[in-house]
Amino acid sequence: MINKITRIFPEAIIEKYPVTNSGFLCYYDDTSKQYIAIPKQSISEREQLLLATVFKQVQSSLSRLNRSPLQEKWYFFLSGDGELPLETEKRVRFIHFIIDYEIDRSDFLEAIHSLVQEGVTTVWLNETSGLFIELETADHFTSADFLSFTEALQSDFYLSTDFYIGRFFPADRKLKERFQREHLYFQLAKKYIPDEHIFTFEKAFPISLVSLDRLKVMEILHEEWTDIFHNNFQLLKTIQLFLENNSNISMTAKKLYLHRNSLQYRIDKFIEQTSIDIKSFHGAISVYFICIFGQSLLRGEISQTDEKLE
Amino acid sequence: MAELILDHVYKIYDNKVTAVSDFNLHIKDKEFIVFVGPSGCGKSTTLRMVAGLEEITKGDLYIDGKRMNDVPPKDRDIAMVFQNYALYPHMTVFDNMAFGLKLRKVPKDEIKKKVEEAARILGLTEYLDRKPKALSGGQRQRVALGRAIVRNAKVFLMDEPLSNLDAKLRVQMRAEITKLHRRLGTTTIYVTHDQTEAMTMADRIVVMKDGVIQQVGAPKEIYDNPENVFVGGFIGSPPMNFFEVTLSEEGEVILSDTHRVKIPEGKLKVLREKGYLGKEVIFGIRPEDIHDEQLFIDSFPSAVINAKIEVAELTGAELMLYSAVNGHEFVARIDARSDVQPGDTVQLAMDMNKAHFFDKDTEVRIR
Repeated sequence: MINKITRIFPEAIIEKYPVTNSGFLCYYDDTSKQYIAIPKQSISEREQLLLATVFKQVQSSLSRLNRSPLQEKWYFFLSGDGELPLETEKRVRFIHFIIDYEIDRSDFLEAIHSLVQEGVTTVWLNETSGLFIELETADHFTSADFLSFTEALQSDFYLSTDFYIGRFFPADRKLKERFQREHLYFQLAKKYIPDEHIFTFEKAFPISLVSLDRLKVMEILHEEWTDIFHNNFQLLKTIQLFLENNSNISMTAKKLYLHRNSLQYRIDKFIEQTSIDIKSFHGAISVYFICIFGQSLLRGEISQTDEKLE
Repeated sequence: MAELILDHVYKIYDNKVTAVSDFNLHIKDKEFIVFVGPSGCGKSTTLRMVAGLEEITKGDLYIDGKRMNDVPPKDRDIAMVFQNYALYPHMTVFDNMAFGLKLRKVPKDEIKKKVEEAARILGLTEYLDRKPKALSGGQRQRVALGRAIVRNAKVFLMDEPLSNLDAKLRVQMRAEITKLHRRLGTTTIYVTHDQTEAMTMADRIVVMKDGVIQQVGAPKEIYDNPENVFVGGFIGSPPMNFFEVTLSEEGEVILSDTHRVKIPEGKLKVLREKGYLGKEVIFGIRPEDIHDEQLFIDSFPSAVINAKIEVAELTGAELMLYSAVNGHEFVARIDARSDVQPGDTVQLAMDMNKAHFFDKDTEVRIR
């Protein structure tokens, strides 16, 4: 269906998220689970009527969801071509959420503000999903806090909420890419482990590796490799050796001819900078896959500029 | 207060996995009913179907005679308590307890009255201004209970609410929840995998396995008359001892070439009538029904076995003796005053009036 639409309206944009640009009319295709945005000047009244009978029009409701200018800017940044609406030295993280039905948003947000820190921006992606954008502080909530909170929401609103607690990232242009990657991990993890409600990179990343096609797997491995190791092969060697030695600091330090305290410092720094707990099983296995990818790059088996990864 | 009926209820997921199968139960008004079973047996799924958080695939749910299958959770007049305290971290105890009422647009002065009353019942009055982080685990769980109490709901649904507490606090909270139920009289469904919680708290227990009810009954009834091997083994700590044995035509349990114990006339009559003599059955006996007192041994000489003790565990008031007959390990719970040591060979008498016999193929109790 979507292909036929794009043939009729070549200017149409197909997106995973609704387009709220006021110059476009946005429709949701339930079959492909995608949004179709068509420039207003390219569509007649009759065509609008016809499209509205086939698809659900979503633009007006999204404007209602993201009322403040800041929310709207974030929305445009994450789903369109908007500028990053934040200038800060601090890192940010996205806490993605999905609720199972539409509720009174003001009550929901009141509950949310009892969890997240002051100054958190909430951006709705549609009526039942969205994200909180949180600046890094010394005291942030953990998976256990979110689990408790999920149950509190369930007992008050009788709704099931799923969270993906993102990693902390620098506030730069690459944030959008990282957001999209996390969104993908969240969708896949939720599909494959529906009984879980709180997801993290550590839990979701291995699932992505087994559920995506090879090209997409290589693409995300490459992106994570760049984000986590910044092409630093020395760091790769340290982390990989640590994981291969059953996360034993003393044994790894001996093999690297390092003092164990120096290694401990490097490991702690890695965990702090990546927000990935490699001392946990899930964190270790996720990063280990990325290490293997890094090793392949080092051995020249995969090129940094491999066309397939472009 | 409410009466619930679950009539032929099924939960079948899209991937065709059946989580709950043909669940039939009538829960009486003011009853405290406990769903117990191992992980994955369908007890929480059933609770969530009652709450409306899971759709009922087939069958009907009635609360006070009204069919609830299509009634949204918020309109079912239920309150839930979960394992992970379920509190809002940045709200005070007062606000946590008041939040549900605020959502229901209850007037402020009424909210205050209800929260203060619940806090008084739960001993939380002095903590109303604190935030959850400043409370102990037990206090946090009491706040979670308070959040349910203030709603004055028809039904309380509790999903393993004590699992996060340490052993001592769990015992204390167990008694507090029982007292609270006596005081409020709210119909309660309580889910746990802990058979001790089930035994000590329930008016009736529902034992589940693989999504199927195994037995429903009062704790004592379930303990004394388990419907099958699973119930006998699941309820009781240590669990019931089971032996695969042959029954002689003369009415004895042949435990080994050297160990035969006589079956009392009442039980023997049933086994004979059902045609089990000369056949293999599963023989079950609870640890406390195996005795080492001389008086018992003298009184029941036909039920005595000689056992070499492999391990003796002193729990304080009792001594657990671990031994084996013909390769079947068993445990006897005897008085702690007994001076039995590992390696000793002792005489133990089985109270055969308390023995249980199960069909070897179906594992169902022979009665």
